[in-house]
Amino acid sequence: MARISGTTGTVNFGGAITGITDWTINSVGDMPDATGMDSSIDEYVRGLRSYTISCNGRWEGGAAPDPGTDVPGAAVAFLFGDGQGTTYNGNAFMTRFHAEATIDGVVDFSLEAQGTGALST
Amino acid sequence: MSRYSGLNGSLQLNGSAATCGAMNLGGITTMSFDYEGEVIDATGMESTGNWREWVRGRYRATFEAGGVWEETAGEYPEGLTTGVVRLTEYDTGVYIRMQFGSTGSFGVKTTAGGGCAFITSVDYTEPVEGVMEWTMRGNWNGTAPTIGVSTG
Repeated sequence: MARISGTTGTVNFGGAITGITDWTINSVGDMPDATGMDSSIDEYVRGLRSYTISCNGRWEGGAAPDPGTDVPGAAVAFLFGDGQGTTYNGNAFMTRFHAEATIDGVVDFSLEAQGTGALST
Repeated sequence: MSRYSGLNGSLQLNGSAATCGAMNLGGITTMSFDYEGEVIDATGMESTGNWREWVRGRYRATFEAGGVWEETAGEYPEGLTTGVVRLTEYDTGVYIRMQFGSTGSFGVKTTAGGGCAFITSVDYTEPVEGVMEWTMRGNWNGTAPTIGVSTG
């Protein structure tokens, strides 16, 4: 087994994005409570699955996300990679885009999106 | 491709719907822009693999800027005329253009012929150990912002 450096990650959200400093996928599964009086301990059944994605980075001209198109539009195809052969992909609605500049820093951005349908690897 | 220092950002207010900014605010130290949206759960029992499905909901755009107060004519910050950072435009709206770095970096503005933005709050602080500063917040009204690497 090899451990993976964070320096090789890749992000594609409607197009390749450079300047990324981190990305995150948060995948969760609902577990409806099915406990009955006959249960000796709490009991659950499998429910729906969902996920959100996010990334942060340095704004870099044409290789940056396009919130003008992506935010109010349809779900956007995305692909997050670890740079070592594993990728995660699906479609997602951008739910937040944030740009920020400070006089002693660089122009940074962050985006968050709600995945819709399956998250594939 | 280039990455951009925040050192060369600019914020302009008012002018006309076409030009957005006629007044260049002085003393800016921070700017931020947020575009946020809601999604609505549209999952049905036929959902493949039990994955939730979503549809687009409502969206909103907000901005925040702050800087050091730069007094001219004894009353207003440099580049400002009566009332721009005094909530006068709470009723009438402003045209706004924010450029986050030098030309070619991220920019956003109100859309020509589309609508305006509202200034919703302005805070002023003047600590004894520092300089007088202000922070302004607002939101786009009704028409999506024009966004791109060049705000024109």
